[in-house]
Amino acid sequence: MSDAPARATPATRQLAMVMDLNKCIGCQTCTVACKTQWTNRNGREYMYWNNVESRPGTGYPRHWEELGGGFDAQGKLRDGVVPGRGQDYGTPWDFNLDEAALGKEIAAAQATTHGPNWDEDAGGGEFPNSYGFYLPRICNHCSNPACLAACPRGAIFKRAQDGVVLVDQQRCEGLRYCIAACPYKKIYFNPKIAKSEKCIFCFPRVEQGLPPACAHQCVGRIRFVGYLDDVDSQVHKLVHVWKVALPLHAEYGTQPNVFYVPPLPGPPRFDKDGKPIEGSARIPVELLLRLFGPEVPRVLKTLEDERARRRRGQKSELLDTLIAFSHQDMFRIGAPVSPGLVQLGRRGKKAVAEGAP
Amino acid sequence: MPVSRRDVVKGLLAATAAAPALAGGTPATAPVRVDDARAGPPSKGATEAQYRAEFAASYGDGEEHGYAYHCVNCQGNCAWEVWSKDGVITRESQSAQYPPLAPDLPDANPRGCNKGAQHSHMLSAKDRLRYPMKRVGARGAGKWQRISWDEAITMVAKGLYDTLRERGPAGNYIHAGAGLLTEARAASIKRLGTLLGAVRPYIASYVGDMFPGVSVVYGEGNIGCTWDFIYGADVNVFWGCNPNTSRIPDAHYLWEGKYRGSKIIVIAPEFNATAMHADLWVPVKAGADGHLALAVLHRILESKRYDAAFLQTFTDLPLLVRADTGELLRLHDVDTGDARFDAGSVARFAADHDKHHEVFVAYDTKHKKLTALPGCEGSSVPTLRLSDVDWQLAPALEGRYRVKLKGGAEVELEPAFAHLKRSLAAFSADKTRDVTGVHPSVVETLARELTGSKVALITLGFAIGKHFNGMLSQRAIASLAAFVGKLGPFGGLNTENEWNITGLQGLSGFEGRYTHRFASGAVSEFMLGEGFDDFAKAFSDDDVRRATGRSQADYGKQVAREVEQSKGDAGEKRGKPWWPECETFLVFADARFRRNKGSYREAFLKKAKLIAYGDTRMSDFAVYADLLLPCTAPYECWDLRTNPGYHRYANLALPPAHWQRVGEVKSEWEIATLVAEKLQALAVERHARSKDARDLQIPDATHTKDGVHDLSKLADEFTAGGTLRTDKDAVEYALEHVDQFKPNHPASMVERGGFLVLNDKAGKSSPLYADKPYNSFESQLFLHQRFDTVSGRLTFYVDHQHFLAAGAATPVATPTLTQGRFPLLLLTPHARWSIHSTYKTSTLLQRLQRGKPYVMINPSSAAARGIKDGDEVRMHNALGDVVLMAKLVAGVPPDAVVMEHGWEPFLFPGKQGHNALNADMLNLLEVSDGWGHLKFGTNWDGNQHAYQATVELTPLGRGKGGAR
Repeated sequence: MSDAPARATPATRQLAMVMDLNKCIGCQTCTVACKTQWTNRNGREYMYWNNVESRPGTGYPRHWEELGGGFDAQGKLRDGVVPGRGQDYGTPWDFNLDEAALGKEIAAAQATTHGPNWDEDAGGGEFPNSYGFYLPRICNHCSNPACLAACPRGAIFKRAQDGVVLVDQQRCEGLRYCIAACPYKKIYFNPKIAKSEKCIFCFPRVEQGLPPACAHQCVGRIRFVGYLDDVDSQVHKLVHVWKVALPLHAEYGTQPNVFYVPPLPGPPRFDKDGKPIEGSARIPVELLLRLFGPEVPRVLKTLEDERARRRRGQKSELLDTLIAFSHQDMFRIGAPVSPGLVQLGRRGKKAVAEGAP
Repeated sequence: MPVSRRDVVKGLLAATAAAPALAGGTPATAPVRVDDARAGPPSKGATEAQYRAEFAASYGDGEEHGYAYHCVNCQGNCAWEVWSKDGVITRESQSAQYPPLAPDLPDANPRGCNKGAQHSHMLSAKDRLRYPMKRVGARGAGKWQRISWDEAITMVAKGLYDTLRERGPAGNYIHAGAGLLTEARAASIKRLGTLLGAVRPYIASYVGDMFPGVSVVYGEGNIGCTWDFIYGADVNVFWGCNPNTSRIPDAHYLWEGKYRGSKIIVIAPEFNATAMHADLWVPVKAGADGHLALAVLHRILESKRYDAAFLQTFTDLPLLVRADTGELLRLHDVDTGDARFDAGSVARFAADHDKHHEVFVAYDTKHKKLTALPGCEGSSVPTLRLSDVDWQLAPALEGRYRVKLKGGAEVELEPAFAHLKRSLAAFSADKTRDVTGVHPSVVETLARELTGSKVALITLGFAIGKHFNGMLSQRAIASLAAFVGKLGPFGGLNTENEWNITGLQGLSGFEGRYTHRFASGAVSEFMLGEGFDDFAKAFSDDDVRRATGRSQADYGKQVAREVEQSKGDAGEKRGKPWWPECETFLVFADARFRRNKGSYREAFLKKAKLIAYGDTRMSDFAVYADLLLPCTAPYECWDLRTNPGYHRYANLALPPAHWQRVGEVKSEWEIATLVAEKLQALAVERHARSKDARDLQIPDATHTKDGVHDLSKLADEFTAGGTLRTDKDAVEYALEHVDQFKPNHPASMVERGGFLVLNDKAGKSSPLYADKPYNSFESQLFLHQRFDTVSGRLTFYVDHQHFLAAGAATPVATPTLTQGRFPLLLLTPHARWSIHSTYKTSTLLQRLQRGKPYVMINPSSAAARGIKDGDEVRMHNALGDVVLMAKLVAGVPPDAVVMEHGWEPFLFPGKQGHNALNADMLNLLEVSDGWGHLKFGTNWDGNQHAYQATVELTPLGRGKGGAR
């Protein structure tokens, strides 16, 4: 056994997601879609495989960027910490809704001191120069997953056909090294079954030709899904051709496969007389550099240049791509690979025949 | 220190309890084997199979899926597919099948939001109403007894019948609230109410979501575009709204539009979720929107960046105003023999003006004479065209003129434009700067953007109308949009487009045999809640003087006088916002106690003899009801929904196959049918005993054709001979009869994905093109059809006596009315996490908020009060105090606090909701009536205002956190 941490067998293909933060409205439809698809049951209630955090803010789980994990410059695993259930993830509160009929006050059964969206819209800066943006997060399905490297049971694997990272639910013994090792804190301990679980990129949906729930149901239409080696896919173009989609905290060394178009700097700031300062950046670029790395200024300039072209009536293939004229075309996930459970065009037929009283 | 995996494994081999890699974290709890932990076969296949099975269980059988839209008091109206397995609803997913209109226009998919995405969780939530129940303790005490449907329906029917006999039809209040804004379902309750002559209040008015100030200018409040139009506008101004939180399904058009080349400008006091992505944010001070709009208008006028030909043709600005009275000169007052008047214009434009008095006069610079105008309400030629085969007009915008009136008096005249110019002088950017907080350079930017762009659109939000001065602010903004001359494809003003849907009359009405008693929303709620008492308590003389220029007593008295005139059936005839006094309430989907202000609840409960309430859940209003009628929710019922016109689709609600309803819930159609049948039986039975005709024939001179409600044929009339009994019947009726739905039936809607596309007949003032976004007023712009205003033109001058007395003949701005004694203005805009109160009690959604009511405060304001994020605070003013959590938000202005609205009072400690701190006052201008197009109806009613409360916040400390 060498000193180098275990690495995933490279996948033959890699599914990836690009999220355009300029289109994210913070509505959390993705979060709720993921919850009803996967995490509203069986010990997963506190988990948000998909979450949207307001920036600046402490994130979910709280202060996850300070909890370590990932790799150092030498490629060795960095120390990591398993977040605490109540104080870092937040307790999934229950309410005495049944007691409304009894004329009682309705309140959470637990103290509401922290939750997955606690910082919503808190923002930064001094009014009227406040600023903020939304950062949706799922598992990055990394090419060099720290979770996989850290698992002493070898229970984490990366699927060859699409690069989706999964926790082997038979082998996992709930040791939680993966949780400490994931620098994004996107693996969760399921206390009911004493195993780790995480975002599975909705692979059973993808296999049926349906995009991941968070992406398919994204009302802001910010999420592109496709294979990175598919030169016709938006993810390929945005990441590799126009290079406007950047990984989150690339310095963590895990080679994420979720990429972000960073937010434009927002409306101009005001001087002390209330006059807008032309060309001023409301969102401090340092904040974006810290999240998305040194390429941010180049990306923002590209976006601004293309916007200027578009305003002059010229074409911009980049902006046309980000606009996404067809929702359906945002997802290039290939034909269904397994027998069709999901069959478009047949839906609702029995319902209309039988219906309600 | 970095730790390699090997170190980790070594640590494990040493069998230490806490592994080094978990420094500070949770130690492993599972047994740790000391042999090779990585040995043994991988079981990838089993893991994959497990997740595949989970997905399959959630998806169920596609053929059995249902369709729905959600929360019908949302205006979003999105097609959802309801997943189910073996009759059990598992989840929902947007249908996402709306067809593209054009290749260069983003499609509408996947319309939906965070709230709709969890509706399946609400079906069996713990606050779901499942069985009919009657109150057996004091109101609100929470003592209930489960009863049969027959017993419940008998109670309702008896209550309605007793009131019909003792007080007459106007004593009953039958109402489907904001939770039931749909074509098919709500028609049941409207139909029952109309049949019985019961009172129905206007929802948009009492929730404060109407646009009376827009009606002043355009003749109607609901104008504008489908939201895909926003994508193509060069400049988009979002004024008093925050689409990123409250127009979630449509917000993508803003940001896709921004990429296309649109400039996005947000005008709002708080740095909201939409402002964060905008090109320009204008932090106007709360309530000063009117001042800002007039400053921009002033700037445009002063710099002459307007199209005079547009103003001459499409606005009332050339209309002559009398110097003696300030009134518009009407043709019937003119001595048409005066040589300065073109007598020929009477025959040309106003042949029958003796019958139709509203014909206005301008000075024609071409013929150098005064002329009657075509296009006015009383004109015989209904066009705005200034030149045609028979005439050439060039109405003057400037100058002073004279004419002889009938009776011989001379009067001096000036075009309305001159008045506008003079009154705007008080609203220059410099003069309004202190009030608006907006730098003059921003005023210039707005003037430049609105006039210098080909397509410029102002989208007006509901927040403006929530201020006491909101009507005037809306009017000022609408005037600005009208002045820049943008209509149809060029933009203009966007409030809330409404489609023309015809053919539904037979569903909610009776072809004129009965008419409903349609009451003002704002006035009837104000009077039900004894609003004058709260007004007296909440506002000082100074407060009222600041806002109205009149003393508190004087203003209160005049409003009371106006309102008194419009009371009861007689008041309705007087042409005022009408309100009744009712005693029996059959109300559906209307959590009114969360909405109404001050001491409304106490006053309401005193007046209500019977409160029968139908809903899906135990709202705060339901808690105080006498009788609870559990209703079907989306996924359990059939329904259709079209308006408003944010998009061009009508969506279908259709339950999944095999779905069993929760408990004993019934649809509103079933309930209303049962009530009609029972009421008839009661009446027939009593009549059989008494032989008194009045037991069967309820007299109603004003709202029936035959003078009576004949209870002996009630059931037959209600069900239209047995054809309309259920929600499914109603949907089938609508699909058969509505011209704009054709050709469609449920199966074709399912085939398409749960919706239909409105056909070309749906546009009101523009054609609905198959391949282009819709926007109002092409018919005016291109065909010169008149607007639905008294002058037929965009209206800048209102000579209603109240407007003249208030100095508001032209667009003006006044300070708003607030309780001025506390430092923080309480703003309660529309919510991201609920539609009004619907979904406020969703456990799943509360977990994504703070789990209890919270108020957002600027960090510096919080620091000054010793308040930290998460602290429990007491929010108080002269009317009371409420306890809630403080949340520090950098985008909140230091002189205000912001709460999402819609919190039910029972979510607060002591069940005291934030509206207890609020009091409203009717605005004299909003209850003005009987002038031109300002006549009470769906376009002209007052708003219930919401932004009056000023408050102070006091910390109560941390840690209480809201646990019971």
